[in-house]
Amino acid sequence: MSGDRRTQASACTRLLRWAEKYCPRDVVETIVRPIIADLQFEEATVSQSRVAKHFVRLRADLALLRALALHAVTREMARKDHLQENSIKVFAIVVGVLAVLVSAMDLMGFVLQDPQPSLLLAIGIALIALGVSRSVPRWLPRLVAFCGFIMTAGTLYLFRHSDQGTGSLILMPVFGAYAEMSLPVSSVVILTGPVIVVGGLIVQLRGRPDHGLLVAIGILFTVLAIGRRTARWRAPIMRAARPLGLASAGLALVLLVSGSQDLAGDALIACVSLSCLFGFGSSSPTGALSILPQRDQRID
Amino acid sequence: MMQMSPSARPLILSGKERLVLELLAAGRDQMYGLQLVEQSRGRLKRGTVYVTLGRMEKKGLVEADAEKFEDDSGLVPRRMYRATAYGLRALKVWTAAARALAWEVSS
Repeated sequence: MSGDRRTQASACTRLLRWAEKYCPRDVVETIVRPIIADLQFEEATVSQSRVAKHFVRLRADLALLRALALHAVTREMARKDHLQENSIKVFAIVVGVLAVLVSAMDLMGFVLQDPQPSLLLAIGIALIALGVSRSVPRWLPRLVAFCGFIMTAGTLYLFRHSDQGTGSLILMPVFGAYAEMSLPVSSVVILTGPVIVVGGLIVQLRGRPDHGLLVAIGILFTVLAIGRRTARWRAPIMRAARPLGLASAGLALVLLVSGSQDLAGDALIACVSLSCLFGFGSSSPTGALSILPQRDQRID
Repeated sequence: MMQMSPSARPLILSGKERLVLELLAAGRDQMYGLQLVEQSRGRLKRGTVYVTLGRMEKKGLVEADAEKFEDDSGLVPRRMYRATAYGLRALKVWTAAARALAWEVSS
């Protein structure tokens, strides 16, 4: 086999040199070199087609990038042994990059609804700065959670009263998920549900009768939150949250296509909130966390 | 009571670590990362398997040797992994505990 692989000897030397230059020695030994060795092996065994060889290299490059990213994240977490803080940092980077990208799209004219793309850009940069900062003060997660709650409520209000579309919809999941990581889910939903109900009712009383759905969502949130505190109902509710979020997304899409934009807004709120509060935040902020040791499986 | 890990902390076995140990225990010889990915039938990913293996190596669950070539080919040697005795004991205890739990729950 080594004879076959000999012809591929030079294929990965550049990648290996790059890794040896920029990565710590242990990372090179345990992650980079094995992946490159696999790449050489695969390149040797694949057919002589150049396309197939390029495909193998692409897969290996992606695997290497992913492995390095995951290693960086998990090593940082293992070193500090402070899951919540690091989760917030990782999530801040992810969402910050997302916010910057959306604002860039807005500035280029792809998204026309948001009147303040520069604000979104500033938020994105601030989130990235938070993510790359060396340490997060202890009071920050709870402050962010509190601000997140206020901003979520305010965002709902603004969303219904003005045309601040894109930014509002981006901000809501951001802070909802932040709050999710800092406070128990039930607390967030219990706080959010009545606010949606009251906000919806106030708007409705002002002569906008299309907010019945918003009120219904608020009531649903409250019922779900209360039900979730009961052990018997927790599992079914959590199981139902993701399909509900997806159904809301589908409904929002249908309503948007059919031109019912007000109702579509309500459905989008339901979709995003349900997905964030139950699906996204409750499992893990990023896929990276899924490879962390599971604390409920112990051998003593 | 099984032997404690080198760090004298309770051993925590994640799902992926368990799967790797099962594959290594089932195989007759040493295995390299890509083999584990292939034999896991999609449950292990090539982007994460080496991170998992690196972590398991630090825990003492697996050990690795560089592949030996007959000639000086200049190739990057693959890392061949095998379960340590400690890793196999951990897997055995975990499996027994899981069976006992399943029996307890079902009875």
